[in-house]
Amino acid sequence: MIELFAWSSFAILFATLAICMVRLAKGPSVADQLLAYGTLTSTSIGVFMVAGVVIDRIFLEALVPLALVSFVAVLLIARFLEGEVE
Amino acid sequence: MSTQPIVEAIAGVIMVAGSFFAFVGSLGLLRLPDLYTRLHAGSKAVTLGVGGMAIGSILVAPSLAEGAKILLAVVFLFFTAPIASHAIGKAGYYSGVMMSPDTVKDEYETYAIIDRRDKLLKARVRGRAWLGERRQREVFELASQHVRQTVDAVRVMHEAVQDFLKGDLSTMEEEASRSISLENEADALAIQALEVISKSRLSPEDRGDLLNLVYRVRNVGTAAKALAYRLELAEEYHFPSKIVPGLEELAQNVMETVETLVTAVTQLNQDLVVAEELSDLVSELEDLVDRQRRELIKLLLKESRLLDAASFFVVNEVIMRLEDLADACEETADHVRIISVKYLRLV
Repeated sequence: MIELFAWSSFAILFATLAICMVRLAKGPSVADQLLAYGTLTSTSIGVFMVAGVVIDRIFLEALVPLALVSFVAVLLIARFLEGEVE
Repeated sequence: MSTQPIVEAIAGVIMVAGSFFAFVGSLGLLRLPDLYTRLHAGSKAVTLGVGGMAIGSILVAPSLAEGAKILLAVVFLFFTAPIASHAIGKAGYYSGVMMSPDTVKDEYETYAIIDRRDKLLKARVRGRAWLGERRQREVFELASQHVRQTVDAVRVMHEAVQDFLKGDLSTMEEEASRSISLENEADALAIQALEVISKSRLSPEDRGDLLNLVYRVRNVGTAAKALAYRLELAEEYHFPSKIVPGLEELAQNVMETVETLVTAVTQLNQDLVVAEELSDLVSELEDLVDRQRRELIKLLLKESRLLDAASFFVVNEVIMRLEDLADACEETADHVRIISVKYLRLV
């Protein structure tokens, strides 16, 4: 039964990812794109979690690095925009 | 899977609810009008959504260890998401992302300028100093002492305005007269400084600029004194409480204008590049004060039917004098800018 829930969750999550990508493409500012990127990665972490339910294996190897890399990237680009890093 | 069907159902419902939240958040990301509102949708709703999915998958996790792994990832996400969105918002603000025209109020405006000021003051030296030699430095020191004294007077005056707004008239009166006496001391210092500068062995151009600077700063002090005299006039009166927050903010911004001006003047003797940028910040703050004053006057006129003539006069005068004070600051800042541009080019 859990598979049914997981698949419907997948459907909603992929719609979410698509919308985030629209925002990522549209902008209009770099900060907007950064926000879209952050949302995209945290949603994909959600996708990995739900996938873990279906495949019966937890993708920790993917989860934590993904969160980490996106966090560092967002912070760095944000500081660059602010003009603190050259 | 070894879990019971009922647990599976609960986990599934929570999981779907979580992804639904994430979906709603992304809709907000798409449809809201500007970066700052999108930030709200993107960060909050999506964090909530991922939280829901995590609870769902922890409930049906094959073992405790696997569940703990998911928990680890989610805790990490919960700690980092607010930091990241804060950084994005700040970056957007400083890189000039506009707010939607429907925005009612930008409360960060003053703080953004103060933040930039503090960063400028911390930055390493980039330009030359004006009057950097030891003998010249002594003369400049007298002028900057006058500036500091003036600022002390303005600070006390700001406290007086705050008490005026609180309705604490006796403290206000005391502070207003203290501010006036501080201001008189500053005036004496100014006269002394003018004398020393006139006699000093500076180049004529340096001397002229320094004299002018002292005159302008003296104007700032005079504007502050005028405000303090108006406050001393005030007796029992009442004014609409709607005006109080705006007036408080106006006084605060004027105070920040003066504080920024002082840093600009003292930086002349250390780093001309920073002094120039600081004087730009003074102009920005003055613009802010100007805009606020116009709004306040509009509000005051709207409420004027509820006021007696004396109260209207006092409040109006206070607003006008605050504006004068900011104007005097901007004039001085313009002079600081002229000095820094001029002596930066004289290599």
